[in-house]
Amino acid sequence: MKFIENAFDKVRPQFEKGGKWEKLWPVFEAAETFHFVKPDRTQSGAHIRDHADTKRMMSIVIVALLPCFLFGMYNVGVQHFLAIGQEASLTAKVLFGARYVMPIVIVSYAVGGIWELLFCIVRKHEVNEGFLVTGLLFPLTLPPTIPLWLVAVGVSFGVVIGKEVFGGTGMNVFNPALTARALVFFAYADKISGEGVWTKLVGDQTFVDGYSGATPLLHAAGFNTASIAEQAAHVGLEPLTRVTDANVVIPHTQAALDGMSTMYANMDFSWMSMFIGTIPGSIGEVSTLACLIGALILIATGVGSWRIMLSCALGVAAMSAALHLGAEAFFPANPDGKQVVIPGMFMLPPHYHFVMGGLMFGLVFMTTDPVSAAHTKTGKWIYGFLIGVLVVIIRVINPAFPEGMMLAILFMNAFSPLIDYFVVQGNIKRRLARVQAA
Amino acid sequence: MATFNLRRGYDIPIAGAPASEVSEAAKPQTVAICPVDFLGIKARPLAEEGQAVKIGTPLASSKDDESHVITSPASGTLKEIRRGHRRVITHLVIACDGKDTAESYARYELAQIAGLGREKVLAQVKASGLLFAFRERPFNSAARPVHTPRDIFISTFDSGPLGVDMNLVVQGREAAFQAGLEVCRALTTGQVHLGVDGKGKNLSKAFTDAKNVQIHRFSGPHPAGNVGTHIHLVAPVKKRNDVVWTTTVAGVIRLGTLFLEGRVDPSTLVAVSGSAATERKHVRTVLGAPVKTILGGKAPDGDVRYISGNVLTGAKVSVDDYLHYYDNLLTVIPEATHAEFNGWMLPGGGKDSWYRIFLGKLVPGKRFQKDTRLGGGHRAMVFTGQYEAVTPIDVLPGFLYKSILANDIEEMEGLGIYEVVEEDIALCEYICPSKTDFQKVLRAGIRLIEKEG
Repeated sequence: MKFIENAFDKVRPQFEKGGKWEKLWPVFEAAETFHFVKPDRTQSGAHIRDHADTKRMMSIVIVALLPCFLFGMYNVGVQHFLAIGQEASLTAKVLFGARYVMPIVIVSYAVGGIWELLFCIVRKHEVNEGFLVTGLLFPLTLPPTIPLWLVAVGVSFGVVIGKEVFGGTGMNVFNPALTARALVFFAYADKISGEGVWTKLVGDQTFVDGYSGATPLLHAAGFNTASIAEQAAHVGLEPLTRVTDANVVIPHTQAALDGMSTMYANMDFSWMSMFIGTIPGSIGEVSTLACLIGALILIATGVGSWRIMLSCALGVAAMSAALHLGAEAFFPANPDGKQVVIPGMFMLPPHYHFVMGGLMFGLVFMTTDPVSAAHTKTGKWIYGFLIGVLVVIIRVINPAFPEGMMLAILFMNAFSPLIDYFVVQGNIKRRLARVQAA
Repeated sequence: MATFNLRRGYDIPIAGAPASEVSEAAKPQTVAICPVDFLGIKARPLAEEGQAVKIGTPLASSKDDESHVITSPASGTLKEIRRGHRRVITHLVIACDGKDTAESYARYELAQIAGLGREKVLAQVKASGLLFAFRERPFNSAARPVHTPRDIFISTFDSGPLGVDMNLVVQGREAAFQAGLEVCRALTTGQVHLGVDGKGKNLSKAFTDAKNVQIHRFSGPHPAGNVGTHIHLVAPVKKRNDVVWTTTVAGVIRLGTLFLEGRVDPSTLVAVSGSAATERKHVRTVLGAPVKTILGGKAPDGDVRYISGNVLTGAKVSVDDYLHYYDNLLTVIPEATHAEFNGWMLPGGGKDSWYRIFLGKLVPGKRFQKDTRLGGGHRAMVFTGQYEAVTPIDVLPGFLYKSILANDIEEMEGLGIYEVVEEDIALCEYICPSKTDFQKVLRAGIRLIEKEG
């Protein structure tokens, strides 16, 4: 590849001190180090270094994201053709998905990249690789119908406010991709939530009967007595488990789920279908299986913290089991004797929580962002567990949000320094105890 | 007398280990002592350039204590007092006459040493210049005669990359080694602790059967052999004035010879290692020998880096330079020369890594040639728990680093800055993907504490 090297060597003087484009040095450096690992030598400290660098770590994360990305593109096509009631080949579905997903990814990288370069030029430091991951992560959290201008606005907010104002990669408090999504979610809620955004239609196409554009979580959030009765009846099941002595009605959510799975002629909302991911949702989060493959890659290479992933899963399981078993405790009997009906989400079994919504995607890729997560080993267990507990609380108990993963992660991001503070204090106290034990 | 099985750490699979055969180096024409090796000491010359010196003649002394002397390791003339930045003496160069005439000191039987008492022993050690064989913790400064150490620690195995085999160093000098241990016993109010390789084979009996000392076994990856690891696990340094002395196997042998034979023995065993060295071996030479003498006249081809010490903590020296005082290892590795096309993207079958991100990890037991490539740009530190995973002692290196950057002395003390020196966190620097400069920052933190108290 000598000719590429020569090309860079020829142009380098223009970007070095005194050159015409001296201010654009970060651009040149980024382009050159993208192609080559330079023979820069160690100047102080250890004379040899490990081959691992941030570029390598980030590229492993990108590889881990590929299953979600590729399946997500395919699924956009699947949902499109299901929604308009047409048969289509695998190729047609993939091409359709690519046609509408690739522009989102390109805009995300381009606009975010320009902000990154701008900050690097002004601050006079090299382009940091953290953006390589954020640029792909953010589009995967968006619905396929998102307008491209909104992608640009979102990623700008995420890169600038979520990362750069704190000092750039390695200094941010919050996950930049989620900060970007949070802006879109709160400022342009109608573009990113509701029943109509999850399926890409072209021109004046409409949903056929037998297709539901709502995500499984939206359905489950709507499980009340009437819908449960309808859904349970659909599969010939009794809608209600029991009414307690205190006149509290505990719904048969499993029946509702079974009913939901076959309610729509063109949809399959069974657990297995949700696990594989041929359901409406954000581009990258639909397939739990793809997320698991990504998790495997991250854990096998050691790039993603298994502690955070496991503790988050344990938190989800614990909290949803606790709500499932202890639902009655939340709903005391009505003093005037009227029936109290527990919302269906309370009885959602833990294994459904994992396949519905963005939980798995967030668990594998967002919670494990090393900068915004807790930095200590003990801290990671606490951090992950509390995210899991929080996401279930927001999903089940909070009536305003059907999905709570983004909010739970952003909330715990704010607490990571505090968690670490206590772990570090523990280290300091142990040392003090050794001093006093003299 | 404890056994420690350490799990955290990393043995870098670097190629270029030295062969066990020992050869004699030629007699050097010049040798040099580098007073900059003695941290915390400002050297003032006592001898003049051109003055005739014997082995043991004082050349310079500490500015704070004129009786704390640096003595000559060879007989001949003091050729040059080389000064560097801010007139600090960097080298005391002696032109050797090859005669090995030496100053003489009192001689004792092995059994007598214990009964001499601290003052007498310290006086002889100081006068011979061998007090510099000891370094102090905290901070790895040269041992000060006004400090009485609470304990003395000696590590008998070098777990660092391509390290010297201490069993070869002590071979034939077992009696002197035991006498040296008696000298150490006399110098401290507490115990002498010997750190022995828990998984080593054919360990010297001088180590395993040493008398009148506490023997502890350490097994595990590097830094299991670091004396700092031993101190932390056995009797950690508690505060600034909790002084512990450390010395090397070579230092102990020299101390023993001083009292058994009444002279300073400058001979030493040096390992020549590294993939760029033309001959990898153990060489018998003298303290302060020139790099050329140790190499044996066959200079390697191409662009290489000579390191006095090991690849993690050693100092870069030129081929015309001298081995530093505390080092018995000369590592020669190739300099990085060519750019790797798409290096960070490719599977990396020929690359080693502590991380599991290159295919090279899949071949167990493979040794890799390492050059001086930095391998990435400097970035902000990202915590993934990697630093703690290679640190067997209870210290959080990433947080300590940040507390130093923040100039927060209380936090530095709380996080253990008294317990670590450069060699204890060098592995963190090695594996850091952000290429963070741990050792430089640690020393800056130490200097801040020394200045501000």
